[in-house]
Amino acid sequence: MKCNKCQKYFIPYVEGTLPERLQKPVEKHLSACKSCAEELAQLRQTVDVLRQTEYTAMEPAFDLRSRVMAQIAREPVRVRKSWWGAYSAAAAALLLFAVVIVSVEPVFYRVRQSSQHEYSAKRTAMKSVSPDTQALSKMPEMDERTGKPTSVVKSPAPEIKASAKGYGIKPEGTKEIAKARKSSDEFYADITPPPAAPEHPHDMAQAAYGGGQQALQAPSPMAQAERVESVPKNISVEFEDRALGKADNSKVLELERKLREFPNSRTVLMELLNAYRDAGRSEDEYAIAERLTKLDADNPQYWFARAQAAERAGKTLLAAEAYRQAIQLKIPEPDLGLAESRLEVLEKN
Amino acid sequence: MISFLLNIVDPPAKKVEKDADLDLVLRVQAGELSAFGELIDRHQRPVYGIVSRMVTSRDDADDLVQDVFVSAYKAIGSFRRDAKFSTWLHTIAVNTTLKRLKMMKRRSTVSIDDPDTGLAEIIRADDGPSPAESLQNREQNEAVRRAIDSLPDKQRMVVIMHYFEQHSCEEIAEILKCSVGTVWSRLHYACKKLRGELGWLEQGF
Repeated sequence: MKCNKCQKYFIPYVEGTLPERLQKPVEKHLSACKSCAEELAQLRQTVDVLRQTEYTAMEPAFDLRSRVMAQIAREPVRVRKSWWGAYSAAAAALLLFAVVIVSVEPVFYRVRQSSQHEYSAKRTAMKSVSPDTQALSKMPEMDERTGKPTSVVKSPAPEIKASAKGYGIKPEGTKEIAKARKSSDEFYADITPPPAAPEHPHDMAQAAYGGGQQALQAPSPMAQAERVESVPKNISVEFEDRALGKADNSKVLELERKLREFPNSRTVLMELLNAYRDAGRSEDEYAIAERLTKLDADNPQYWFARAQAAERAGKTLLAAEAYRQAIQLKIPEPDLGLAESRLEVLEKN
Repeated sequence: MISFLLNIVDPPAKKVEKDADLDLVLRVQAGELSAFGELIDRHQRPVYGIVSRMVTSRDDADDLVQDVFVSAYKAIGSFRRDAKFSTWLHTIAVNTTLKRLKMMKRRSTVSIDDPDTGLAEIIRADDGPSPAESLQNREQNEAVRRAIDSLPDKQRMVVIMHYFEQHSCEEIAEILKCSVGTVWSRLHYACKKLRGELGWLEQGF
């Protein structure tokens, strides 16, 4: 038995739970290998220390049961049935129906495209196999996007309109575009062409509206106003709300409720601090950071978070003071470098 | 032929130990919410045993344990009887705790478990020294606890479950859904790291 294999069994060997068939090979190796024997002795000593250490767990909260039951009652919690339960067939059918409705046009588009590819392949095959150019000329070139002969192109591409309906983009937007265009060529000339087989609603939005992707990313608080400008007006309200981070409000409310229940929970305070930061609520973010530093005044990371929150809230003096505290408490890199450079900037100003 | 038919109609009992909680679980799955309260009472202590040693404050522990039981309630419909309820619940407790610790480290500028900043120190309102503890023992205990708190989360979890919650390595493997060899390996590396943190171990105690 080699050393690395023997050491795998050290823990059960020390604890006396190693299967009998493995004991002899381990003991044989230990008698021959000094370093493994030493390693085992050290491990045994450490295990003994652990066994003698007192590490008391917290007593359960006296009101845990009532709080859990209250939370279950508050949230619309239902005991999740097994996937193969009685309702799965109906749920599956409904889901299938929804998927079919949403995806039927892109599927047609892909089918058209694949038949177009097939057509092109045939044409190429004919070209290579049969030098009969007369036969080849009878097969006109097809437009890849519309699947129609290039000499007959109508606008706009119907698949854009259909998927616009499916993916929450107001149909009116596409009609406006359609009216302004005389041919699908002009239509595609001015916008980013859609991908050949878009797989995600986001891709369709980007294809139709060019710079829409920027609007769909979570905005930083500082750039929030600019992001609003970049969201095209004919994008649905749902997209706009998501772009502005309003979907996060419910998370903030939930965390605030939790904080009322657990006012000194560092976990909740940290989550709420991050949520406020993401939502651009710098005053609230600062208040939470301040609370954290009061709970643990020797924690440099809390002071650093407080400094950053103060800066975002425009409290430059308080930010400088908090950076000083973080540096004094020896905040580790890379935050140390950042704190020092920010402090220098604030002191100059 | 008759015995074959009997095996189909009344199959022999599984070798799995009979689960004392099964009756309550079935009642919860049938919609009886009060039965879940009984399960909370039965299992809150071991769940606190795992969770409260992984987090730093009382409020954090209470919050996390509450989340564990709410998650268990939401998922109880999918509880299959091929494991004990306690094993299943402890899996939820472990996963919820590790996920929360990971999320806190990833999302915030504050490193909750960074030993260098002192965040790994336990701040317990109700954890004072017991009267029987001598000063030396108290200091030793504190040093060991601090060293345990500085371990990586997964190693810390197995150390806590094995040495302080008295789970066997086989039970831990079932809870963590890994092999028993993985549990042995994590314990081994944890002990090596602890030895490195606790220099006085070299001199004995």
